[in-house]
Amino acid sequence: MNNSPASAISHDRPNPTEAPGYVASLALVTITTALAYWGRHWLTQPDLVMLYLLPIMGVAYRFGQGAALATSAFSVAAFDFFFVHPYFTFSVSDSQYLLTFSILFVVGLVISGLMTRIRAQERDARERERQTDALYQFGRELLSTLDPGKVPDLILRHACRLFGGATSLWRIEAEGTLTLTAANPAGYQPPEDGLAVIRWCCEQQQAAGQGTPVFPDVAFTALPITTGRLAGAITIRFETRHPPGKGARPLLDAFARHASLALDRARLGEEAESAAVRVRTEEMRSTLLSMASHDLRTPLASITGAGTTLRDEGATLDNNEHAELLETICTEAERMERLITNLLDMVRLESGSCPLRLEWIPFEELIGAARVQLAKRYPEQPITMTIEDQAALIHVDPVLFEHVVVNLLENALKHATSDHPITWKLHMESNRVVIRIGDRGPGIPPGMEESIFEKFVRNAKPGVPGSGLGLAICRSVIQAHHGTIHALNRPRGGAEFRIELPQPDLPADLLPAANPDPPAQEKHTA
Amino acid sequence: MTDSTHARILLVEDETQMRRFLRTALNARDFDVIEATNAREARLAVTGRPPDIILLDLGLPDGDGIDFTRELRTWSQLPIIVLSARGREDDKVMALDAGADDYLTKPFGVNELLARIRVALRHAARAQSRNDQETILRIGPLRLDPVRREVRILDQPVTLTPLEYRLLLYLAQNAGRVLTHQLILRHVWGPGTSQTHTLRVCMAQLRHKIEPDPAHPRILMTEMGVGYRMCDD
Repeated sequence: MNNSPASAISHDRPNPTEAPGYVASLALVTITTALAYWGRHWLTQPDLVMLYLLPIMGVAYRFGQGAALATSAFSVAAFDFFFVHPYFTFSVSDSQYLLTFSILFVVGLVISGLMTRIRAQERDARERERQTDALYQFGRELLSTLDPGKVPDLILRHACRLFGGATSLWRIEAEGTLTLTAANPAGYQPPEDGLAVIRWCCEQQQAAGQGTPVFPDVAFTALPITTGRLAGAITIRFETRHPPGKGARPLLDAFARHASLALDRARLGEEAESAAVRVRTEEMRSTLLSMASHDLRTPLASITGAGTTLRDEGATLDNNEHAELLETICTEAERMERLITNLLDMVRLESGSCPLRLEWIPFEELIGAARVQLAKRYPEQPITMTIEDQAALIHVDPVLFEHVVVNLLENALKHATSDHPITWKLHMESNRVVIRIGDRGPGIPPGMEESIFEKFVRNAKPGVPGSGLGLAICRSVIQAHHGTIHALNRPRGGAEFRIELPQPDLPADLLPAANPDPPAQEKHTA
Repeated sequence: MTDSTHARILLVEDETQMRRFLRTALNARDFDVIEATNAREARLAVTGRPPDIILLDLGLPDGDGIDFTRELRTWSQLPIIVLSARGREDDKVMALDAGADDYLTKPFGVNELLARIRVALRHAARAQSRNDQETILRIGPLRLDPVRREVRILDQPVTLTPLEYRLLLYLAQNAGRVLTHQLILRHVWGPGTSQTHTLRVCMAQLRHKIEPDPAHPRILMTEMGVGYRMCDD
């Protein structure tokens, strides 16, 4: 992996000076000559020729073709000078040596060619591996990015790491405006005259700028990005002054493809999410509408019916019928009022426009107020209270929590009888309070323990009034208090609701020492 | 004291249907009803020949009912009952603290309205009589003798702490009216006490001494988020 700041692509540089190669070839030929001279009595002349192939091979591998050719020339010269009669002159007495020289030179040429090619392949392979690795890293990070908004920055960060320099991401809108989506380093802007190049790249979906045939004179390369309906471009200003080499094109193209896919995926993700939100809102609205049209119109129909009957047929009705119709109007109006109150509460809770006003309040007072509220509709209220401490204070928003108590109590009162009273239990712990209300009604259908807290989910026989909002309001209020509410079926029948609320420490003026408490007791009232 | 059945009622309400219903219901009980559809007309009606009681809608076309209440309170103690579709506790507290005597949230039944009118008129009458402080108060099973500082429930004497007694006396003197937390705290504890929970704890203790079932009060009623009210029927 390429962790150095250097980029992972090769650039076409002017041939570096090969002085070290020539020096090395001279040195190697000298050493070889020395060795050969020292062993000239044991070695035949063909052996000596073979010996000179070694420095040629070595230099070809290490320093490339030019130095290898030089080595061949040096070798021929040295061989001629030291080992061909007449010694220590470059003159040749036997013409057969000319063939030897030629062969030595040709062999040197071939070896150096082969060696150079091997070296180039090896270098390419290493570079490809590095590029693949870099792309793999890029792809992996793109996949693990969950936030679609971060994708452009991630792409540019990797572009900088892969290619160095400065990068920017552009988007072209349908009407042709070009907008800068992101840049790395932050604030980087390609030169003004580069905008035309970027536009051309976006519109033609072809690479442009440095290192390409189109606008090769600008100081950056623009790569086209296609994401579904949207088109755009990435610009890269390379960190060196030299344009990227031919070998870099596959990497650049692969990078652009990766980036396109990632942007496409991010866009699809965002679209899917907003579609899901739309669907949810739509579902909510249609449920609300169908609920409102049914639950609001039903009582309204009764009121209208009874009212028009009284107005138009009043003369023909007897006293009993009169009274009945009037009763209908009043009862149904009350039902509508409750429903509207619930709807408004729900909307208010969901909009988050009611900040909590936490106060210490005796739990008993909340129960008392709820019972008074329900007294008209439920004159009989068989309730057993088990409060460990009659003066138990809980820290809640009294107005909001009152909704919870009323809703749970009303739910339970539908099933309560004097034989099977409702049980309220309150249990204080160091930093939380557990409140439970139980009834002996039919309980909760299995599997609905959580869904009954959803809006408009009703667990009641058809015809039993209820908005399907009561428990949803309970849950909203409890959640606003950072507490939990759960429903469960009691072992011996009936439902139980269990609320847990976090509680702060009692303020000093409310500590039990200041208020002597009566012992825990149980009370039966009807 | 004004005979409550012939009291003059100023009805300040801009909704025609609402006015029609109230006029019919109140006329049937022999009240004289004067109607005003906005704050300007209401001001004229009050300065002309003052009514015995005002029924005030909060949402008036030419101003807020709460401002009208504050303005009126600077020079008159005429009982005001606020009728409003604004059901939020804050609105109630604001109206009551501005000087309204009572608050009814729309929709309401005519019986409830008549009860509140009766209470307000009685209270206004009592405030005028001098020996108010010495009258023995009888409210349901409760009998309170301010002179002897004696409290009895169903003829059984009850021992109260001084704070509990002051709280009970204040509520009894205003029986039927909603008193906000701040009003009670100022009156019973004096200025400087603003901890609502102090009041709540005291109220809980008082209920345990007076109510047959403190978890289902019949005398000392909670108006959640607003204050307390002593039931007077």
